[in-house]
Amino acid sequence: MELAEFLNKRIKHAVKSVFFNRAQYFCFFVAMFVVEIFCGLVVIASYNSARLEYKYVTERYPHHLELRNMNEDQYYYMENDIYTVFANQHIYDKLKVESRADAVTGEKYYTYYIKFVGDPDESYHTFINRYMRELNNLADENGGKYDMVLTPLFDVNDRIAINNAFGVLAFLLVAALSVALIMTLYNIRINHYRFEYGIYMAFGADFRRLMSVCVWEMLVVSVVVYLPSLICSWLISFAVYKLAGQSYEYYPWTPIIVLAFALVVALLSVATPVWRLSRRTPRANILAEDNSNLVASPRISFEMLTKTYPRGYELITGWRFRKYLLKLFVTVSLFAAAFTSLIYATGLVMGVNDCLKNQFYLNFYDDITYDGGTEGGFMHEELMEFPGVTGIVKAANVTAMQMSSHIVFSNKNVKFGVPTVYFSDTERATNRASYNACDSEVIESYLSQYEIEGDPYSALKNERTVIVSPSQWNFTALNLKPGDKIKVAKKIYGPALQLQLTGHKLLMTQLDMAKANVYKFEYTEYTVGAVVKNLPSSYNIEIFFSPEDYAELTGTEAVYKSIGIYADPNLSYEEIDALRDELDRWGDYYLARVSSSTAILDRNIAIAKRVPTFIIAIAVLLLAMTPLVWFFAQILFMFKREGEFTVLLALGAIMDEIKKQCVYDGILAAAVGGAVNFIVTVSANYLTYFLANHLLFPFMANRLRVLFVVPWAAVAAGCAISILCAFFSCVVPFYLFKRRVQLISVSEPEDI
Amino acid sequence: MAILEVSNIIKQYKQYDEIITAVNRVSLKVEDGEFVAIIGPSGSGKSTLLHICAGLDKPNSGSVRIRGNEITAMNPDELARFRGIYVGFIFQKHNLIPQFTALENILIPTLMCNKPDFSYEEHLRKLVEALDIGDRLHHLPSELSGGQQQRVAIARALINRPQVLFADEPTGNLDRENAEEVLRLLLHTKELIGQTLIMVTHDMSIAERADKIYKMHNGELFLFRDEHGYRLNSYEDEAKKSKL
Repeated sequence: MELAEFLNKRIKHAVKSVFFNRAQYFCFFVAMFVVEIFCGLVVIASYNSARLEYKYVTERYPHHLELRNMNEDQYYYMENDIYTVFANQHIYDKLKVESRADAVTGEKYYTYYIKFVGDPDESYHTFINRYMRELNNLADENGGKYDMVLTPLFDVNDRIAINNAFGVLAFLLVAALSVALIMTLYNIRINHYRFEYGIYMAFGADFRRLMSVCVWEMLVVSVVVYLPSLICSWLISFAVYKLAGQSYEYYPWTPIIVLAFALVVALLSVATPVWRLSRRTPRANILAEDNSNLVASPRISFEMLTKTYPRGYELITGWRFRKYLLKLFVTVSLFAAAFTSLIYATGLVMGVNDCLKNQFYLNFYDDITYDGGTEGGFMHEELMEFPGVTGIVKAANVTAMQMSSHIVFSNKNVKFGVPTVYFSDTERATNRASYNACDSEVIESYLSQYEIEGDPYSALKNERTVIVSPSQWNFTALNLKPGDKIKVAKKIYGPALQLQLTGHKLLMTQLDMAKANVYKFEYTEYTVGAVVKNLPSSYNIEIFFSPEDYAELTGTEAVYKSIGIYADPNLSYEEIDALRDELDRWGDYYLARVSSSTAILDRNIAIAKRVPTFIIAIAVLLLAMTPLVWFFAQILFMFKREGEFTVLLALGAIMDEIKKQCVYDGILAAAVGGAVNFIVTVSANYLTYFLANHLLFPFMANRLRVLFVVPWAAVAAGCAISILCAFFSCVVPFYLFKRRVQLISVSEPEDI
Repeated sequence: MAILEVSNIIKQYKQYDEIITAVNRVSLKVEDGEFVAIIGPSGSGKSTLLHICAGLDKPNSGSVRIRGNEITAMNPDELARFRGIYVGFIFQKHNLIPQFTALENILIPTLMCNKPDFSYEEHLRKLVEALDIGDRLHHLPSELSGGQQQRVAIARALINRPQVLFADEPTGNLDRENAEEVLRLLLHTKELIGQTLIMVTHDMSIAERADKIYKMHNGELFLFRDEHGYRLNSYEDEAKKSKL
């Protein structure tokens, strides 16, 4: 068959099928419209995210490298760069040079802003090979204040690649949702209209032919809604960016991607229903239509005469179709669940964006350490006075494994599935712990961000009292409560083990050696004063000791050679630069080197991308699909029952009784549907929480931990829509039936 | 040469706790070019047997061979393709697809078998002429009378020139005059294409025109009248009745 003839036949066949049955296909038009909007939104959002990432990075950092605080020797070395001047081996452009005088000595320091020419990676390596050694040689003692910093522009392509990877992930997620939606509708349709496909099969249609028929039909639907959906996705994305004051660009490949997406979704969505259909015999498919009018079996119809009519009868019918109804309830609930999960995910994304990160770090050199404790700490007060500084975070810690230590706790405190070592009949031990020094500043500026049970200051007020974050990889590992006791081991003597052992195997070896007196541990009992519920965690359980207890346990004072500084996220870049200058000057006095992170830039980029808004837009569109599935399924189902209603009318039932029957059906559907919806929704939310909190967040560069909360407003919206749709999808078809009542006839079952 | 060989077919349905045997150990052999009629009361299993013979349904056990190909051993896709080439089927209730015109309904098998236009154009013309539906080709099924619908269904069953045509009470919904006309057309097209015709019918006057008549009762099949016109009295109930 020639291609033109082939296409002509297929398209003509599909167009006729779709438009003749336009009432049946109406929901596919709407669903495909929404699916194509999904795709358009994701494509446009991904493109604009990458574009904004590039825009923000290049605006803030037009240079790849900063050579910060070079002394005069280094400065002149770079100014008289022999490679550029004499060999014409030009690998970078000097964008600008800034100089400042040391606040104490008055010495001048220079900062060079360099933009590489050509491939930044290659130029950077060449730069390192050419200049690094000499720059280090010329640096002050111990490196002085000199620092070499690569800016985000250097790895902007990696950032865009990560952005694109998330875009692809979102695209796949949306594709999965779209396939689920169309497949659900197609399943419903194909179950009600198997007859037609049975005829095709009787005349030679195998799976491939049936697929071809169905895919062409879906393609017709896709093409009809193509332009409106493109316009809508453009309008929505335009509004999202413009209302937030962001620049916006339409991705020119969007129309082609959306079309390809629609084709793939159509193909994937119909494949499974058609496969199942093609495995049935043509006779089964053809008879499914012929016998379906009599939805209540003769036996039930007979028995109904002894039951309360219409309530009892309808309950029996509901029970008879329990599989269909349950399938429908669960399917529809999945869309409501996807809606609430997306709303929940929006909260998580916003949480990630708002998560506090250090904008600056101060690294003290020589013998100076940060003295910020509230008892006489003066650095804290000085730093907090700088405009824009909102908090200071410091850490002094050592892991249990590093100091051959471990902690011991009661059996009853261990949560199921957490690997621990048997210590005695009633106790277990682990060396997956980290010991932290803690003072009031740590509690105020760091621990107070998290949910704490008990009094954290008790660790400072009382002897042998600790604050514990009893979790690993964001999972609660120990059921500790304030007042519980734990023992911390301190190694008195014993050889350093040369074995390549870590974790509980190392601990078991150490405990065995302790039994043989090769090792000796001294155990100190501590009372748990407070428990931190949602501190992000990795391998180790975190334990916070008072400075005295920490010094006694580890044998070293808690010194803070490095501290982090939180800055107000709303600072402009000029204000951040001004703050940095202030900190540099402060560092001159206290011999601290200042380095900065990209925390505020990252936050600004994340906000500019408007990801939460796009997720909400997709979630709302998805929720809007719920009534479509309800009404589509129930109208077709009730349409099949019209023959049954006619029989009941013929047997003497009055229209009001039929109406009552539909109302009972609606109440039943609303009650069960609402309950199923609630269960499925909350379960899906928990799954989202579990996946994000335990499988995603612990592995992110900035670890994050969230507590499980149910977005009640979203759950209520989902349940309300389900309950209303469940009820009205049973009642509305009754009125359609009432209108058609004169035209209905009852089909006879085919002779076997 | 036998074009259809059915051996030991059993087909059972489960209804609640009850097992209903629709076809019980049926064997049948139909020669090439024969016209075989299957008669029997409602619910005796004749439609089920016909569907199984045509590959539209699967038996619980036993085998069906068409032209030596065991269709009961084929997978659904092989069977579908086989049906498209070798088998034509006329349903009792026409089963025309409502959104397609008569012509489009007739051409469904060609579309499903991916046949180019030139391969059936001449045959289509002859069929349309023989069935006298030339002026109704561009009408929807809802615009056709019962007889016209059945003619379209016949044309649809014959468009791919199947070697075996199965007809499930093709005249069941028609009046005497139309029934006679449809039968005449079926026999005419049978001669035209040279095919085998297996028909389920209630109508004894139509069955009498067949080469052989089989009778079905409680899922069992008996030869009722052979090709020489001898009525065979192996039918148990008939025997009992004659004794009485």
